[in-house]
Amino acid sequence: MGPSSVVVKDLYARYAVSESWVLKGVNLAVGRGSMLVLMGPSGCGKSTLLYAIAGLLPWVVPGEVKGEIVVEGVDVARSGYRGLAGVVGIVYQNPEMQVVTRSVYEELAMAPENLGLPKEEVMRRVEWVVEALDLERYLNRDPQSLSGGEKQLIAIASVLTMRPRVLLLDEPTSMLDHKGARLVLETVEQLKREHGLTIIAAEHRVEWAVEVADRVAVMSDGAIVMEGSPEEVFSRVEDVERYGVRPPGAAEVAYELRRRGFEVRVPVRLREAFEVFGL
Amino acid sequence: MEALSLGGLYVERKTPFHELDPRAKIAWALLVLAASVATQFDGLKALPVFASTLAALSLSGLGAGLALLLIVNASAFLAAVTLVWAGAYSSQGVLLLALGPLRLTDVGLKVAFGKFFLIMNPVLAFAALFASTRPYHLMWALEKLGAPPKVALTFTLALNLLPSTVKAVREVTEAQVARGLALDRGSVVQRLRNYVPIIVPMIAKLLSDVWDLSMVLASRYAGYARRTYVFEPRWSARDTVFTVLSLLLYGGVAAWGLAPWW
Repeated sequence: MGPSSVVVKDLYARYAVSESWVLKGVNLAVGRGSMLVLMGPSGCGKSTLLYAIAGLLPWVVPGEVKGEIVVEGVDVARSGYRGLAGVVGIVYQNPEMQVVTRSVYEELAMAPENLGLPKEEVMRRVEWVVEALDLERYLNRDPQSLSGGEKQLIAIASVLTMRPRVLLLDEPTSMLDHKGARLVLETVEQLKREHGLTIIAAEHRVEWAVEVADRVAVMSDGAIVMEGSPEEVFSRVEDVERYGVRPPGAAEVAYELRRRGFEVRVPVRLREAFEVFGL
Repeated sequence: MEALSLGGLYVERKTPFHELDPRAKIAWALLVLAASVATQFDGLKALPVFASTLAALSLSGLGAGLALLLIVNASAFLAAVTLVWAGAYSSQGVLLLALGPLRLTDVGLKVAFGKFFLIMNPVLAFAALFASTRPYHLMWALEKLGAPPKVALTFTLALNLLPSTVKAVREVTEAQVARGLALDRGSVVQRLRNYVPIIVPMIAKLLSDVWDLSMVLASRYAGYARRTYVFEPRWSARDTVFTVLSLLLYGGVAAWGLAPWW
């Protein structure tokens, strides 16, 4: 792993309305240009961790944060979310709430306009993201007429015009159909592959996670209980299941075979399963 | 699911009214308001203002049909206003109609219509303004007129909560009726009570939507700095002509309304 882009040390966090800590002593380091997928059951603290890294908690969302978060050298506790402008971009679950204007161009220009960048720079950034994500066909459409997946794609593009070095994705496909989810996930893969962004994604799609993630962290009850490469995490099928995460189908099959006495390696990816099962 | 959009009341059209600089339209709407205030005691004098708002609605591509719809929906309000002001002015002017205790005089009728137009004319004018001005340009115009960026954004958001609220009411009502809620049964008190299962989830939904929207706007750094606008309208000779004509028309109407000898 290269130099760390995001470092979280002994992080405790809670909302103003929470009776107890939602995050309980989270430690995390994400290498620059790498991708970490957070997994875990609903309510385990994935979104809260992302909000804290983005500086939204407690600066926008009332609450309390203890511990240390450093993102690309910026101390989040001191700078708040405003100090992360141009450093962190966050995409949320609900595509309907993230596309707020009446034209795709306005939507893409919104964040750099809010940052007060010169007009020419705003236009340059919009042109860049349109080309990078092949959005030309959407430019003349009313965003409200787009599908959920297309809206989420525009939401991601809108965040990218801030030129963030770290992209946080809070279950970006959880409200999308299969086609929309595929569109979004392919875009995330492209961003990782071609633009070298550091990506932290809370995502339930385990088969996708094992294909694209450099690291996987399993969260349970506000803490990271497992962390490692997809192979390291998902080869421990029983542990993963105990924490409420479904392991990849290939790993489940191999684990069942091992339980029945067959000596097989536990694959986590489909192509490895073909090798292991001699298909 | 409908989005809580910043596009709310705006209707995309290519009309002369859409093409006007938003500052000219804001000035026009304020002049309509001023003229309506000045003519509030004489509905006859408010008629030119009413006619001009209908013309504006037509020029904005929305058509006078929208005005008609608003007036029909406001007919109960007109009836109530007429009763109140007819009662207040029952001893002045020529008696037109006597129905039991109700004595409708020409003065009472003029005042009633004046008060009705005091509400209707600005409603129609601002409807034309908001329907023909992109929220983006409305924010720009408010900032140009000196409003702080956050105030301009908040105003636009609040404005666009109106259609979102209507949608939320419709969605929640349909959901509750599907679950067996009967809104048309029982006494008046019972019927009012029947609306509680609509009002409570509707407020919860709106709060949730607004919360999500505020998170999105915060993470896109709304209010971070003095905002840049890529698309800035340019004041043209057409805007000057429109503003001067508006000043002449509404200034004249206001003077007519305020002059006691006319």
